[in-house]
Amino acid sequence: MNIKVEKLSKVFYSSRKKESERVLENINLEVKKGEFAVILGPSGCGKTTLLNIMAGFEVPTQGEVLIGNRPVSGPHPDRVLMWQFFGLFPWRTVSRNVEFAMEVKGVKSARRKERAHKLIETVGLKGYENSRPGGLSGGMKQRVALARVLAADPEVLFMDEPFGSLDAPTRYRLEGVLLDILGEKKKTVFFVTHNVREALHLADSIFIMSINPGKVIKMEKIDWSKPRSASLEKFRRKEEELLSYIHSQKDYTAMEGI
Amino acid sequence: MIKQKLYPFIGLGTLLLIWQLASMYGAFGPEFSEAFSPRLALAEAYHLLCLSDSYNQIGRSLTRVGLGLAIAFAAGVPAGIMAGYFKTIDRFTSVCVQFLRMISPLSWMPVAIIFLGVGDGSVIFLVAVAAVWPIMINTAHGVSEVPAEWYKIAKNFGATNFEILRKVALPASIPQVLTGLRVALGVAWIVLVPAEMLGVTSGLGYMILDTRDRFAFSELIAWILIIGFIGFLLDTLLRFLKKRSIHEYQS
Repeated sequence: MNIKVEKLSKVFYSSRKKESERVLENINLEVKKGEFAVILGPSGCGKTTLLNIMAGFEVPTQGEVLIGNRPVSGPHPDRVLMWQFFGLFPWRTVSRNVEFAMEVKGVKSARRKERAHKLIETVGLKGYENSRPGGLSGGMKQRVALARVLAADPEVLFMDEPFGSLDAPTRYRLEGVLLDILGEKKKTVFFVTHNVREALHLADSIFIMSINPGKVIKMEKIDWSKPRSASLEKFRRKEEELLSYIHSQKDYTAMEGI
Repeated sequence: MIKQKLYPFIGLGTLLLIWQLASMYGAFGPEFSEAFSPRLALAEAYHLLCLSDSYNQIGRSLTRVGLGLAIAFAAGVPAGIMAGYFKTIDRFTSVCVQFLRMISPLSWMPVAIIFLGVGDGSVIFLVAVAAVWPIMINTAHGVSEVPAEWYKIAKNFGATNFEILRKVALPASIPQVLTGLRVALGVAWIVLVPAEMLGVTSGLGYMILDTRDRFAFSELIAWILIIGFIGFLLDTLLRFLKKRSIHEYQS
């Protein structure tokens, strides 16, 4: 489904401080079905808020989000948000976590289990079906969260720095897993990160955001084939180019998070 | 060096020793020092535990506590989930709950007897009234502490409100529900004895009155020891269950 964000702004009011803070200002973007879009910006630029609005968890102050030409009015299993800190249910085994969305949909137990086990294998966790999330590493937890989202079979995936808390090698491996899976299923993805290299690994299009207020200041199409190696000449040049663009911004210190 | 695991036994031994010394040096007066001595009480307790009728009495008491707790659980857990999840319900009920909670369950005794008559019904009612508040309050607290993102995730996958309560709020709060149950068991066990002094003719509370009326003082002390011992066992069981659930829930 095509996704369109039109003239979207978000203002937070603090009744205690009697102040309002403009978090997002006039965001316009368009992403085609099956496209991998990355939102790149420093911490505090409102990327999470933007994602929450697109997923239907928050209401914009102005403007709207259209998914397949219909305005978003709330969360829906067709578009699922993946969280940075996994959000796994610790009382459920890995398999039962993955089954959750199917359980809610009313899929029969045997079919549910079969599909869950297949997805667990896909994300590389075969043998951990009956473990509890508490005993897994961060990377493994995020694999479970990925399998759980895929089990819901959403059309759109919103990913809020899903690999942000992982060490660099694990992050790199999981980016590969994500690309492998998405290669088979054409899903539209919105991926938030503050890591330029991660953006270049994954994105078909990159939206760079500034801070205070959060605005999209640059849009970049990357049409190279995936997976992409960071040692490629054009990869390195693009990385340099984006970084120097970011550092040329006037509030460059605030952009340092990138 | 003394192993730390032995400390509880040393404490228990010290308590027994103090009791023994107190009875030896006449702290209970000349008439009672023999009847209230640990030697006789423990011998009597051993004797009681060889009699099958004692198990009938204990069984009756455990049944009443069990039924009272079951009722309290069946009412307290759903009420707690609702109050913990829906802030409006919490605002509606919290003052009422805090008010009712502070009323000694035994003050309901005449009311219970009017409506339920003398007998098991009233005892079970009093136990349930004592036990329902800790279960409800702890459950509500547990549910209100559940990270909001778990609810968001469930909602995102299309869960209905009922499914969110049953599949997220309740299981996420099991450790606190068990804490509530443990506290509830403590008060229920305490309320049971006086409640069984009100007209019923069996159970541990009744045995206290019965031995008093028969002037069987060492048997009375023996029953007191048995009451404490069973309460201790039940609490240990729940503590074990809670420990296991927390272990399972660590995220």
